[in-house]
Amino acid sequence: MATVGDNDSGLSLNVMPMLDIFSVLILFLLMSFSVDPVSHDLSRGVILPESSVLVSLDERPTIVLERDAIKVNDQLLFRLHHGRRFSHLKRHEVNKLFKLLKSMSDANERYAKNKDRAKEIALEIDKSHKFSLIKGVMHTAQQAGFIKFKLMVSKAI
Amino acid sequence: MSRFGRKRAFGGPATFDLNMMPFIDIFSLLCTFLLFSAAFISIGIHIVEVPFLSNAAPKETSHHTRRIINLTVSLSKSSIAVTTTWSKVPLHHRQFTFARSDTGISRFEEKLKQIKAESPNTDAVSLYIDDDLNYAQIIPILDSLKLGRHGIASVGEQDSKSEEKTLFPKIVFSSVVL
Repeated sequence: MATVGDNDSGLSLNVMPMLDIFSVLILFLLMSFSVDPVSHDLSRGVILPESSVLVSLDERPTIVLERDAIKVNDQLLFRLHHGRRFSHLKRHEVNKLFKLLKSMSDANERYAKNKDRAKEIALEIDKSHKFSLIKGVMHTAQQAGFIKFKLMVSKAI
Repeated sequence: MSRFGRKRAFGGPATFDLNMMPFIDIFSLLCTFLLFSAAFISIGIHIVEVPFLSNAAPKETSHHTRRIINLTVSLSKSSIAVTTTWSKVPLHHRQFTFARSDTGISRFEEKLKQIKAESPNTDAVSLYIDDDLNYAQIIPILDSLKLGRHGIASVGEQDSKSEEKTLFPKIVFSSVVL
C-alpha cells in the first residue's frame, strides 16, 4: 500500500502483503517440485520397494496393485481381501481386466507413433504382493498385447 | 522501538515496523524440509520383458552368429541358482547356487560380473521366480542383474537413460508364461 507522508518522509511501499503471497507461492512450488520427467503421486495403498535403479519414471502407471485392490487407469477393478491370490479371482474378473487392457493395447497399436512403445505398460505394485499375483496380471497383460513392463520402485538415495 | 513496534522519532510521524527475522528463519527451515522430502520420494523404473510367441521371421542378430553364454537365474525363498550354457558347441553347461543372504548376494554379483567378462555380448537373462516371493524380495535381484549393486554403475557414473553400462539390460520374466 502506498502512503503519502509528510513532505520530508516521501513515498513508502508496504511490501508485507506481497511477501506473504510470495511465501505461499514458494511453498506450493517447492511442494510440486520434481526433477523427474513425470511427476506422480503414489497411490495411498502402495509402498514401493527401494532400488538402486537410475532410470526415472517416464509415464504414469496404468495398472496399480494396491495392498487390497487392483486398479487400471484409476478405475477400481476388484478388491483383494485377506491375501486373495490371482488364482482365486473369478473368471469374469480376469476377463474384465483382459478386456480393458486389450482395448488399451489396440488403441496404442492404432495411434502410437512409436510401435515399440505401444507394447509397454507401467505397473505400480505394493512391495508386499506375492509374485503369483504379479505373474497373473503380467500374463493377462501379455495376452492383451503388452510385452514390456515398467516396474515402479522407490529410488534409494 | 516499543513493544508493538510503534516508533516515534523526535516529533516525526508514527510508523509501524515489523521484525521479519523470525518469519524468514521459519521459512528457511521449512524450505530445507521440503527439499529433503522431495528428494526421498523419487520414483524409478525397472524395465522387464515377458516372452511372447510370434509368427514373424526371426531377425538375423549377432546372437545367432556369435557364441555367447545363455544365462538363466532361478529365484526361490532360500537360494539363487545361476545356470549358464554356451549358445554353440561346446556348450559347457554349468550351475551355481547362492544363498539369499548378503554374502550370498555379493557372491552372486561377483559371478555375474565374471560371466559378463567371459561373454561381453550376453545382454539378456531369463529369470524364473517362485510364486511365494514378494515384490520387495525380487527388486534387489533385479538391481544386481542390471547394476551389480556394489560396482558397475553407482550414482553419478551412469547417465540415467543409457543402458550401456548396465550388466544385463534385458531381463525376461520367463516364469510368467509357465
